[in-house]
Amino acid sequence: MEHSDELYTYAGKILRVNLSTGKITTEPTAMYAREWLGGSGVAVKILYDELRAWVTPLEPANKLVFSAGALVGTPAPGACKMNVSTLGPMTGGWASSCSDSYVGGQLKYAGYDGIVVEGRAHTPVYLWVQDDQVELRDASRLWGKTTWETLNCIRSELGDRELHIVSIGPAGENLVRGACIIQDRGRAFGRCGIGAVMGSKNLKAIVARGSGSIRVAQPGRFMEAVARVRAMFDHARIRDSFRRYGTLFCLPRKQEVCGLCYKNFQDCSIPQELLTTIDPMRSVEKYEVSRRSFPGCVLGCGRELYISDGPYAGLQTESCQFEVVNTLQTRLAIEEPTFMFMANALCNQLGLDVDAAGGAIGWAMECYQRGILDKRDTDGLALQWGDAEVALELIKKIAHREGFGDILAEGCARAADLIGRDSAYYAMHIKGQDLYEPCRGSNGWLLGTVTSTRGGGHTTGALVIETVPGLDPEKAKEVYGVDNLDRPLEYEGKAEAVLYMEAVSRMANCLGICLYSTTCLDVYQTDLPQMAELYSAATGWETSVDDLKRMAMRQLNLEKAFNLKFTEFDRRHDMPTPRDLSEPIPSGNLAGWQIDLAKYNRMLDRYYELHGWDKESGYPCRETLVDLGLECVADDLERIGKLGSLPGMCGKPA
Amino acid sequence: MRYHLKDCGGCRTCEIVCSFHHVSAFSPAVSSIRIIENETGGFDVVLMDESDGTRRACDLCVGLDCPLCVRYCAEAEGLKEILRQFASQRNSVRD
Repeated sequence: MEHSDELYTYAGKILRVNLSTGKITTEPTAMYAREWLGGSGVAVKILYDELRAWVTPLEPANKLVFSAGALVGTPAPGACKMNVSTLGPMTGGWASSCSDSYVGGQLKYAGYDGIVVEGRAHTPVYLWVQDDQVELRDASRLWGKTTWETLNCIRSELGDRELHIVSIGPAGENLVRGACIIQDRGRAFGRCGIGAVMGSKNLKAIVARGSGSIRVAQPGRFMEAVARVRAMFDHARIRDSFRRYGTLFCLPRKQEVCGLCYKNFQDCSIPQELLTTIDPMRSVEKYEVSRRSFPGCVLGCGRELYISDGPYAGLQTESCQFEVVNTLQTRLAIEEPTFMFMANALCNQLGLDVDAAGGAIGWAMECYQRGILDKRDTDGLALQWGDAEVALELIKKIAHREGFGDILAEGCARAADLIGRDSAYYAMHIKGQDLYEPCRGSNGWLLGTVTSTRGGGHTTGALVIETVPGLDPEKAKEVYGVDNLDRPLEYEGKAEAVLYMEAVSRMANCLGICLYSTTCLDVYQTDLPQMAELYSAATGWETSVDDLKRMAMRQLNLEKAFNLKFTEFDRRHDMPTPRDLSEPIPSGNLAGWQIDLAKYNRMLDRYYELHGWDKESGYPCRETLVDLGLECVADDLERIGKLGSLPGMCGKPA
Repeated sequence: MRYHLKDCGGCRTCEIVCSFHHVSAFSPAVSSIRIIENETGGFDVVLMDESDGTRRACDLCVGLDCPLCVRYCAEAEGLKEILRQFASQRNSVRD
């Protein structure tokens, strides 16, 4: 592999693959690395600059950017993430999703930091990247196959049982708005419908294998930093639980703090009997076959399970994360404890985001409960809460856009528009993206989720830490800069803490570091100072924490501008759902608690003020953009009338 | 030589740091250690007792207090035992 003498920790090149023409070229990563780092940072720069305002998500002119984090390929703790970004079909704006991946590392060892996919292939293809040999291969016989079948077929065809791939399933092929991309069998680039964009391009899979190397600028300093950061995890309070169960260990705590979704958010905790019945940690103990972990990971949250009894006996799959418990199992009030593993496996096989499935099915079941939908709408299915087989049937119908599934495949927001009948109130979404996150009872989580540039989501700024068990308030104050993270019902200080987490989540993504190995989940884990040291040693470019914060804010502002270019989002879209605003928590430890609209608005004002965004519209102000080196973006926004400019309404960035 | 490492999660960080020992860069393709998923869903460790032209022979990280693969392994004790067996078997073959 060629290696740039000047660019360390990067492979040095980005692939451009035009599926319409078959032309494959490269360009130097150095065009982007210094300012945009990697991952979603490089992606937003490419997509903002190159997509014309008239482009729509599922047409050939859209582009799909795969980018490995800057530290992927090294042993930096948790550095296994690859990111995929595009103009997304779920919100119509910024779409970005990352996943644990071997493919990102192999891509870098092959000599490429990322792939920009353009155009649309005339017939189905997959991309095979092997060092200098990059080719598009016929995927006609793979079209229609599940992601698991696709993995086996490609491994057989290329004669290597150890190959790693990312692929779409039938959901992506059928342009389901919530389609995702799966790495091998069990990890998803889940949110935003990026799988539908891949399907629209007739691209079934990407396979990468590399024999080259990644070098760092200061090897001794880098390895010392790696060792120091790994040692930090010995103090992490979540470490043992996380290693044993992954995020599933959060379930009892989420019940305590009313952080669960029951019957499509009709309640925020679940009946005690259901909690006892579904106990996922007991299932992990019972069915575990082996562990699952990814390059550089210090925690190791994955488990391979073999379900040996019950209705899904014979299923071998990776254990799910907590998200699936919330978005499918408790949301649909299903008692069968192994349903979560079956539903997760089925979604992974079909290439369907579990949250998009849960959001749409939860909305439909609530509409059925209230008589808004009946069997004439649902292909004769009785959508009763707790019916696991109906839920699995609906997942299949969504992925194949079959019958009623064709409506649900649009996501809950659009499905409600199609059905009408005052069903929109029960469509739980932010900016059109189905919401799995319970937003009542945790204000920092609420603010970060609702303001997320990619629509509802807790991984780009939400304060996950507010409801994680074992929080050390003193250390949390030192890390987050506010002293009330252990008091999730307070509003003050949460905007400041979200600003911090927006920086951590973006820098983790750009470097390829798993968010769950950062202070997002435990204040004793990787923080910005450790990221700065690892990146400085790896690149030879001295980079401070302030530099990282500035790059994070530059990226966030460009994501915001990307949304303003393609959507009508403004302050109204940074508000909680009508249900979250109008209904108090019905039962549990926080029974009666309700979001205070005036206090929420003051928290949002403060959030805009900290970002240098107009409080009335939510638009970035010129001064903010110029300070971040985005003067051209300010000009763009001014041209379309979306530059924050109200006198006295626009604060300076913190 | 192939061994089963109980509780290995297949993260392959060992492969990355092994290559650093040999070439001062991260390049799993040249590593002396290789992690392979077995038919039961667990993982096996393959150690090179001699170079195949691409992969380097394992020298047990001569000169270091602890082999890098062990230092970066979540199941360090198990891997240490495998390296001990490997050293013993290799010596007996060479004898």
